[in-house]
Amino acid sequence: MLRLKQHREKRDVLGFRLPMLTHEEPELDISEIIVMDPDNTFFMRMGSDSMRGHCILKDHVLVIDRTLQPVPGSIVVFFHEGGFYTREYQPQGTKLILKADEPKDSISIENSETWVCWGVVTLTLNPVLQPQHRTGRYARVCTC
Amino acid sequence: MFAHVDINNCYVSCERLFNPALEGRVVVVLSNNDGCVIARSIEAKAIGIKMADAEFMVRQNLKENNAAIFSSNYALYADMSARLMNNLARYTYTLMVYSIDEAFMALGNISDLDLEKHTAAISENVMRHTGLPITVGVGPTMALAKLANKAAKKQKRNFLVLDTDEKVDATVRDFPIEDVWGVGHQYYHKLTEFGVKTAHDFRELKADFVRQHMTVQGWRLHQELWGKPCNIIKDVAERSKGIESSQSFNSYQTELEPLEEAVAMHAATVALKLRQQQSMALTLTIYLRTNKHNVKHDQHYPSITVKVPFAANTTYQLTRVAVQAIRAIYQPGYNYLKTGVRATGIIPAGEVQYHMFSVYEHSKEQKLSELMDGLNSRYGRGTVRLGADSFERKWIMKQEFLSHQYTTDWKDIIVTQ
Repeated sequence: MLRLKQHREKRDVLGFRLPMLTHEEPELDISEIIVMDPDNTFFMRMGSDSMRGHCILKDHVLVIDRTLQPVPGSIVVFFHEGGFYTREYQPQGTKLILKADEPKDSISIENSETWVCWGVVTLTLNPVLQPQHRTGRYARVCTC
Repeated sequence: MFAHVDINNCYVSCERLFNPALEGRVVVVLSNNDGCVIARSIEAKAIGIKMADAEFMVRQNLKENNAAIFSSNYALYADMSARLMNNLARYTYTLMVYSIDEAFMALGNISDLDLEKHTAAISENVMRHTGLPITVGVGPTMALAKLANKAAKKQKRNFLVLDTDEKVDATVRDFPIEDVWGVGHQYYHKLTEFGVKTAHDFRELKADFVRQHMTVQGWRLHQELWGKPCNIIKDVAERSKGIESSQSFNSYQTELEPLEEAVAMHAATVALKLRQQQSMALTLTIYLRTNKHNVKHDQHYPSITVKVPFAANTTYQLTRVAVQAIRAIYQPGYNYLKTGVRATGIIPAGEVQYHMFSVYEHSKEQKLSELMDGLNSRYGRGTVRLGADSFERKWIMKQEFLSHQYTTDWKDIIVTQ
């Protein structure tokens, strides 16, 4: 489950009452805009480059919300014939196209076929840290 | 009105959510040490796998049916359970988490017209959002809600609302008495003697008669089945009266050292649980067991109950007491299979009596424990531990079929194509 950021400790200033202390607001917390519904949010990792055109590359982390219903254009994670796939949701009449960059990677679901929509991708995280920085605690940046 | 919600085949459903290919297959989940079956899919029930069947007894049957077998993945089940409970809490002010896969909800005075719709919405939304199949039973009392849930399952429905006397009457009419909440073996045998076979028969008994033969518990159940609430939803979980941590080894242990390590680990777990519910323990019971099923071995079941100097919940204090205790009861020459630590005499942390002449010097240990908890909750359980609790853990339990920690370990998240 999502771990909320631990707030920085606020130090008291000796002998002097800062006038801005009465105007303090909670600081910015990145998880507020990444995860809307922590109880129903899951994380997965992109394992292929079939969604390169949608700027989802291999090893990007996917933030998946199960409370959303897919609409045309949504990026969905779904289960089909033994594996999990990430594709663009495009219903077309009685057919459902789960679109990838290349037509060969797209999946077409006929009316009778079963598929399981697992969740809607709300956001992807692209790790861009250079390898020489990936040491110590920075080795953990978006690593999985 | 009350609702009773539970997850259908909880552990199996958790495994299936992250591996939908298991849908329609025989799936079983094994207990600690992969000893026996503790969860079964409908398909597994259909091929005659019973609850608590030993793994080696049903191995052949499972193999023939191409079954998927899992070791208990409690980190996953606990996380999914928490997600479900948080979802349910959105529909009620009072949620009582009854077990890892069961909860009662107070629905208040929603008019009967809307109740069916409301229940359907809970059932549908929670199932879609968590991905776990649930059954919801609604009734005027907790016993009837639980009964409605069971009846719904029998009718293969997702929910059942017993909001009128007619519906209640129709459901209890052929509801077997042994399936009623709170009717155990003893009551079942007693009631059979009175000719009671269904919940309806039980309701027809006179209240005085029930009171006379079945104590106040049975009388309350009788009242509840007539729609008069006797149980109330307790919003806050009660402080447990005993906390235990125990585990079998993967092989026989004859040396003292691994036993000490195991006891230290259990003491640390007990201490953590105590801190989580803000209480302290006055006494610890430490025990050792040999394998009673192995008749060739000499048997030895020593156990010792020791007073903790002052009521404590720090890892350091409890570990020290536990390790000393195990040294006292350990005898060489036996093949030990299991050890455990149980805390009893549990009191709220605020009510500790200190010795009149002693100075309270535990704050350092308290801080140390808090620091350890902080690190462990951030970086994963067991990241920081006392030296007494080793890092090798050669004796750790068997988990041959463990699935991934899909929701609690970044390294284990699912990779999609």
